[in-house]
Amino acid sequence: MLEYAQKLTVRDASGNVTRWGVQIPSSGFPYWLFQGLTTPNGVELMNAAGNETYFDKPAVVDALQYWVDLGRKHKVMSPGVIEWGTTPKDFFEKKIAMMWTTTGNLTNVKKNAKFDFGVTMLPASKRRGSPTGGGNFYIFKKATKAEQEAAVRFAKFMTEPERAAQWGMDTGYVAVRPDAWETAKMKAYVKDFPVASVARDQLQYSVAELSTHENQRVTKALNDGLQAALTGAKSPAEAMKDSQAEAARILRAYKR
Amino acid sequence: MSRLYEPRGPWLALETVAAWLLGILWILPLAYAVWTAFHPSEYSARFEILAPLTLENFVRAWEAAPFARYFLNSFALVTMVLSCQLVLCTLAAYAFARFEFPGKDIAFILVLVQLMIMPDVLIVENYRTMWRLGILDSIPAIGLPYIASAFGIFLLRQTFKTVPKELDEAARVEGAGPLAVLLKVYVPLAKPVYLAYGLVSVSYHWNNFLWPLIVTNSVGSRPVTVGLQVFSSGDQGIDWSIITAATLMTSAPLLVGFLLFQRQFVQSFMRAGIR
Amino acid sequence: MRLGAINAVTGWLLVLPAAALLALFTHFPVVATIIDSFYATSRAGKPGPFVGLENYHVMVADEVFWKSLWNNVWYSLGTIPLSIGLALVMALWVNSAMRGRTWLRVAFFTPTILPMIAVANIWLFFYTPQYGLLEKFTTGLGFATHNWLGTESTALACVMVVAIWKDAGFFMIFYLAALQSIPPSLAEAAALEGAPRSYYLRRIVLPLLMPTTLFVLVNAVINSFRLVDHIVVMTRGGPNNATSLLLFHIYQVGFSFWDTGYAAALTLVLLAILAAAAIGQFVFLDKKVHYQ
Repeated sequence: MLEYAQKLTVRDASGNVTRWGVQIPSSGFPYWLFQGLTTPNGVELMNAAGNETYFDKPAVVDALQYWVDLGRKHKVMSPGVIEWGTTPKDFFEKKIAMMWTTTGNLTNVKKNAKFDFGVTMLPASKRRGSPTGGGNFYIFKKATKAEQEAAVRFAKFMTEPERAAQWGMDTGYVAVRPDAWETAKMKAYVKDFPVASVARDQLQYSVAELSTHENQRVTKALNDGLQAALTGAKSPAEAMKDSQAEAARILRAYKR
Repeated sequence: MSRLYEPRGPWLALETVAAWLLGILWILPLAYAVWTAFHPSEYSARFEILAPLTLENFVRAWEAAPFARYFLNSFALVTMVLSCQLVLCTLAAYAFARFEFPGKDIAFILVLVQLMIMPDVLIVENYRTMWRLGILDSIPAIGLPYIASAFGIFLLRQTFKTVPKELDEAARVEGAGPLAVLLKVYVPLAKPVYLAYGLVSVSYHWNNFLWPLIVTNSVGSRPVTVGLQVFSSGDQGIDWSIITAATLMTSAPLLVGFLLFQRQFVQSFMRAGIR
Repeated sequence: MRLGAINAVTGWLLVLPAAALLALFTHFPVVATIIDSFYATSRAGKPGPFVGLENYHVMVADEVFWKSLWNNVWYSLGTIPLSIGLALVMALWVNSAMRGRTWLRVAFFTPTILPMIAVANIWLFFYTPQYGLLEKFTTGLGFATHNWLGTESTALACVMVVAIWKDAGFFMIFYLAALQSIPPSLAEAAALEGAPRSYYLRRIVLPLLMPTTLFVLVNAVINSFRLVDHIVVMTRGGPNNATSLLLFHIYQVGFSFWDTGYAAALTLVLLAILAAAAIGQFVFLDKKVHYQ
């Protein structure tokens, strides 16, 4: 990716960048995009029980170093923290050549990009990989019987193949069940717009989104560390060491 | 201030230019919002005189989120808050202005505490109170902490104190009770202050954000400010055209009112400011 | 005597509704904040145990808290003098016979009535790197492109500008009211003495505006600790907490981490600051001017 990004970065006569090669946004929830770097680097950020994190593993620090270097060393990405919300617009304005974003943006891009574009899986370092995203339907144990039944009916309604397919086409999010992809509508859509299935095909390599006990806190510990490294306030190793220490402190109570 | 000490000659020219520059700077954000909202999205970062005009952004924003409901909620909120404020503050201000009762001074100081410690900073405990009352995610929950307004009580008390005692006594001689005196003598004389307070209160609560964000979590109770934030912080990133259209819509009631009655607005805020 | 008793009862009855609500939503929360700050956050429906000063120990060790506090201090020191100074200048202009003063008054005042949350979205675009309005201007002048909100050294200044822009016109109104209440005879007397304009403004107008300045100052201090709407929209406290203000930190701890015990301890710090501002007002302000 770095090589392409270098080729795609455009500078004007005085050396100011007029188009960055690549953009990985880092405002709000950088941890999620970071998983797109750590997973291909063959490392996960937490254990399945959600009471232990691995932010300071060498492979994690490496991944962060790579991210920081895109901006600071190779100068193919804007340095500092990049706003998630403006990223698609940056792309439409041709200020960036490649962007990392949610597949839920695909329909938006299809509609608003006034030029040809492509979609590909995240680059592989040691393996392919990406974090999953999205939300879940929950049915609460303490709800009344009637509420539970209604909730099940609603969840079923939302995930019917036709509806899931329509949702996928209208947004770009991955339609949640395989048979949605077998509907006539979806088949025609993918035939006409083949990149729509890239995110689905990438799922086989995906890992779970970072999720632990005290999730918001642990996530913030990591986000702060990532932003500190990206803005140059701390070195990647230092930042991840601090994030790990903070996360370990928060999760102490859940280790027993 | 007298016209004697006004800038003259080159100073006047210089200061006029400076004032105009600052004025332009001050309306630039609004001007930008208007530009973007009325043009197709490919012009949101490009400024060409001949760009085509469109209302499509407003239509899309209106359809993309339940703004009609948000407007209704905000409208219900400011109406409820203002009407309760007017009643409660009038009664309390009347007492503080014209009645002697034990503990009056301490009570008044306790009222003034709220001028410093506004409900905006007591979000944690007030949220717990709303939870105990079982009214989380409702319009009353947004408004309740603000209804007993120290500012309103204070402002009206100052006004009532300026009402001549003779008028009060004359009404009493005619046999009017305390409430009748309040309604017949005090309230009519304080009309401009009521208008001033009303405008300040309405613009405060129409624009309020953090507390409503915290206590509401459904379309049924969100005011426009929270609705706008929910709408503009989606996964899909920011489409400036639609956001600015939505921004203008949410500000429109106050903005249009202000531009039409700007003299009254400014005078009202001035009156409310002279405490 | 009987009349006095009736008066007392009526007085209390009139105050009662407002007093009850004030007690419930202002006085009780203050007391509850103090109490809760000594308890752990309740979990799974069980009330949290008494933990003494633990929340405060956590606070002393909490880097984000210290950063937010310092940010807030800088934020206040930056926004308050600038917005008050601008407000005074604006008021003098708008109050003069200057050409276009009516539209200037509208222009200066408009930010006051717009929702902060809405205008923050617009300012977000101003600061966007590369094609944002600010960037168009600076790159037009030949400067390199800069990530304004994404760099720790500039992000706080950027949100401060928004606050100044929002507040200056509001404070202008108070100065305008004060200026219009200065009797013209003072200017005439000064003119007879042959005093120059700078002298008149500095020695006569400014002292007369002192009560207004103090009043605006207190309002500005409160505002700088009370309003974080633009932080929520523009930076969410980032990058790396560079724009996290005290109330925003409280909001995160209270409603994102749901740690109400610790949030209560943090709130107490904020209340202490506001109380100090209140005491300051009573010490410095002639009570007669404003409270009688």
